Amino acid sequence: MRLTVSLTINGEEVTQEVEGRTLLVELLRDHLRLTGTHVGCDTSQCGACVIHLDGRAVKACALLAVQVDGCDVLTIEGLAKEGDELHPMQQAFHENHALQCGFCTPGMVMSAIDLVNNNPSPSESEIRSGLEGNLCRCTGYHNIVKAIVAAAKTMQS
Amino acid sequence: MYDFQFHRPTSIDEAVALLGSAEDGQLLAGGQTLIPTLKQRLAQPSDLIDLGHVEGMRGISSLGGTIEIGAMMRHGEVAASADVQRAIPSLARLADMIGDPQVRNQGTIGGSLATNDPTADYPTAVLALNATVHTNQREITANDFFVDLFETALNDGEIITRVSFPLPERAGYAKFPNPASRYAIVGVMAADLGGGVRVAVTGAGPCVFRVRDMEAALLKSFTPEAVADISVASDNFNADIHASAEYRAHLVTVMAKRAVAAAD
Repeated sequence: MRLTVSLTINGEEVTQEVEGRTLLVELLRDHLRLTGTHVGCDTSQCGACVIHLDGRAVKACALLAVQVDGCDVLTIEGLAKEGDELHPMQQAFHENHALQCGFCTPGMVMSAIDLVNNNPSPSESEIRSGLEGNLCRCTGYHNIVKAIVAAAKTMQS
Repeated sequence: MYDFQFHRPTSIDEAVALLGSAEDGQLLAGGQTLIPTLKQRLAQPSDLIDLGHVEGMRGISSLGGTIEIGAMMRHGEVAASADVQRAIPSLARLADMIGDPQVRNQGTIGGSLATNDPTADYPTAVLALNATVHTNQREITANDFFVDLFETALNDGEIITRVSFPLPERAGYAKFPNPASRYAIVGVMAADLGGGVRVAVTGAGPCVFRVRDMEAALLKSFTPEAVADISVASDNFNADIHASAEYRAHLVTVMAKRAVAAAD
């Protein structure tokens, strides 16, 4: 079944024809070539595909594209401002060496921003439990937590 | 995933009509169980009917002695609700233990209850707190709602619209989560309803169930010690690589003690 979906992605209006069964992450990666959103497990465990849907972090591999018709989607590509100015969370990941292979990083960054938006100065344990839905198979969690602590301070100021 | 016809009704009546005319229609709430199920080709509905834009299925209201939660309210919204936190703090904490933050941002209470997964958290709250499930056809008491593995009392064409929870004197929830999926290996809610006590268990058996021996003991003394020596039989309990039936039976007592200790 072919359907037309219209939504806002990273501030731009997008209209695409999709199948009913097309996943949001397939719309982003395969149709729109926004390949910053990754597919890791494809079973909604790993969090590599986390994006923001109307301001809340969700897993794009567990949503249909047709479900988000009319919604506002933010992906990792939409974070940096014009030019090279990174989002404070991206900058903090860079400065704290919060990535090794980088595969989980887009999802980690999107989850971390949602976490700080809901809890502006999270404790270390709140950050660790807030990352339950994101797996880093390099096991680089320690620096990811440090980066989120640092970014939370920057985002407050 | 096999393809399907997709529908986006805006009213309950329209959703019911679409279900009625579909060969094998399936309602879609948050989709956090259904979409992974479809991806694995474990289900092949002819039509998917999205409840995301149906009016009158959202909102939380506090009405004399009860909290009413719209069926399409997400777990994260229930967990963060000041009304729920004030009236039934254990229910807010339970919602905050479901899955992970991203699943809680999409999964809904109505979807969870209609699915009746044997390891889901919400069924314990509905059964222990003696909640009422409201549908487009009737009101269903908690005792009647949960029938068996993935089976509820819902008829064809029946849609959960909201759930009303009477306020307990105190209630607590404790779960031993699967560390990967966060589903309950065993979860127990114990509720002192003022004049009655109810203890509901998820994860252990094919369907949420009550433990009458524990309820009788807690009615005399609502303390962890009261249930410490009460064990349940492991007959028909779930067993998998994560926990044997006997271990799950052991966990029922441990989680019951913790649930009572956490009650507020």
